[in-house]
Amino acid sequence: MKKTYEDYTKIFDRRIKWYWIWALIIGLCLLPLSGNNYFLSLLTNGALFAIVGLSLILLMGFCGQISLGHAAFFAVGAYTSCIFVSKLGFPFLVSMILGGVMASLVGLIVGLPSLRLKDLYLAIATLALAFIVEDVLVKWQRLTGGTFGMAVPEASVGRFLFNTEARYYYLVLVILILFTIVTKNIQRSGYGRTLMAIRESEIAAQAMGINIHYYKVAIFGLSAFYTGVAGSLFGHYTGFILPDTFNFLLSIIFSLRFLLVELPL
Amino acid sequence: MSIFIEQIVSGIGIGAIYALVALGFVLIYKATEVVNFATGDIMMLGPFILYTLFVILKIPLYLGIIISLLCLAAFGAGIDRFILRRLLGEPMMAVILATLAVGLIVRSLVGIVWGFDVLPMSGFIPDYAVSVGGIAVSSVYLIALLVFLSLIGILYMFFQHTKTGIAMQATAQNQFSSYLMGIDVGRIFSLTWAISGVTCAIAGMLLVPIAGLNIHMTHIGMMAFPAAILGGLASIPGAIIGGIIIGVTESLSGYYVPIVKDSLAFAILLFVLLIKPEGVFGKAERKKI
Repeated sequence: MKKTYEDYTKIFDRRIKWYWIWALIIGLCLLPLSGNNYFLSLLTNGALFAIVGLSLILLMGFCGQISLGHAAFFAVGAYTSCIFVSKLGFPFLVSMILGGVMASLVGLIVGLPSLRLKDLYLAIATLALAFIVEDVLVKWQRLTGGTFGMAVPEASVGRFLFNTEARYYYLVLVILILFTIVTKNIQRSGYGRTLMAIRESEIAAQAMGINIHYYKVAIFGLSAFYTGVAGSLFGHYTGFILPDTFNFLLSIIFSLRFLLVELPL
Repeated sequence: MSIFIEQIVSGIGIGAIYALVALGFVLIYKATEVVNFATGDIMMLGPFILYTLFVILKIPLYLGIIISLLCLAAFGAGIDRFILRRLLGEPMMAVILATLAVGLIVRSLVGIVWGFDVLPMSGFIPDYAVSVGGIAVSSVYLIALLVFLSLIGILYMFFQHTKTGIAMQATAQNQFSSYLMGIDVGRIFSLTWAISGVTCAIAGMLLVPIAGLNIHMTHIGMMAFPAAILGGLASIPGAIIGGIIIGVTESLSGYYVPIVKDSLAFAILLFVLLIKPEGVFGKAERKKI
């Protein structure tokens, strides 16, 4: 039970959780030593979806907004990053962040309906946007290759290629840990508490002087940024992307995972 | 000019199918306040069962249609009785995901049983050009429109002039008071789902000559959302008119600006949600604190 202000600003309420977290991180770092590539690829995929899970925790968990369109952000992140790397020759890390930023811009647009819509209507509006994004990916053949898909170059930093399972696993793991730290800090800061106030009651939050319009659009942008980065990592990991990979079933699978494993972050 | 009119007529034909799907969707929303994201998948199940009965087992067509509609009615009622009844009072997201899960399971099962390719099923709806005054339209669209109008008539008679129909109207207005008046609300819910299953299945069968019998028909079921939102989620006339408007705009854009054809309906949906979220025929809901 939280009683004092410090309880709200702590990262974990009990000290023992720190040890568990360190044990988990060290365990995850040691896992590639097993040398089982299939197992590692499962872990990499798991870590990618964990990043999407974090973005859904931000949006649906903290702020109480519904999105059935996260596959669209995932797709925008993947395609942007791939286009920047393969057609414009940008370095991988830069285009990964650009992928996130582009997804975030789309997220800001998707966030606009959330100012007027709630619950069900928001779910349908985000679903509609996911359909539109998928359709744009199919139709804009010159940029995305349409239904023929698009080959994605391997991720690299400088001369260092992320060409083995273990290397890519560490890359995704590092990014996942970074995002977890950011999310944990959002949760314990005033920003996170604002989001939770909006989730509990929009009207009460507004009465407390919270600019809910700003926060709702901003959280859509931030959540889309996470998903965009995850999408970019996914694109470079699979090496080939099709519009069909990002159909709306993927959004539903994201949401289902979020609801089934509602982690007490 | 005649092409324009032809496009409009075929648009009304396909719009009638969208309207039927949207009707199935709105009936459920109005009576039980559940948003059925599995509408498209339930719609697809009807023609697939008919395919098995009519093409593989060689049962006479009318018998086949009746059996598959009964199957769909039982299926709809079963979803309500065994899945959604248990989720009464749960948060809306849980209900949405439950219907989505039903849709996914149906889609996967259809894929397993009937495969992912287009199945040959021609000739059960006559398909030839009907020419009136220089305007040629496929008979498929006209039959769709005819079936649609007669179904609307039957449903109207049912809701206005039978005791069960009036009980359903009462339940849609106020569940608690109709429960106190001795209406078996649970039975009404299941019945609504059954009717919705039947209208969706009819829409699916009408769609077979237009879209082909395959698993991607579910995407057309998604058109129920733009249609229903456009007319207002809880409005039956709204769903009918919304479906026809979506059908006509899609048909016209498919001819004049084909690149936007697939997204246009969803763009309309977003536009309506941003301008008038309660729909053209819906009533604005008051915000409760």
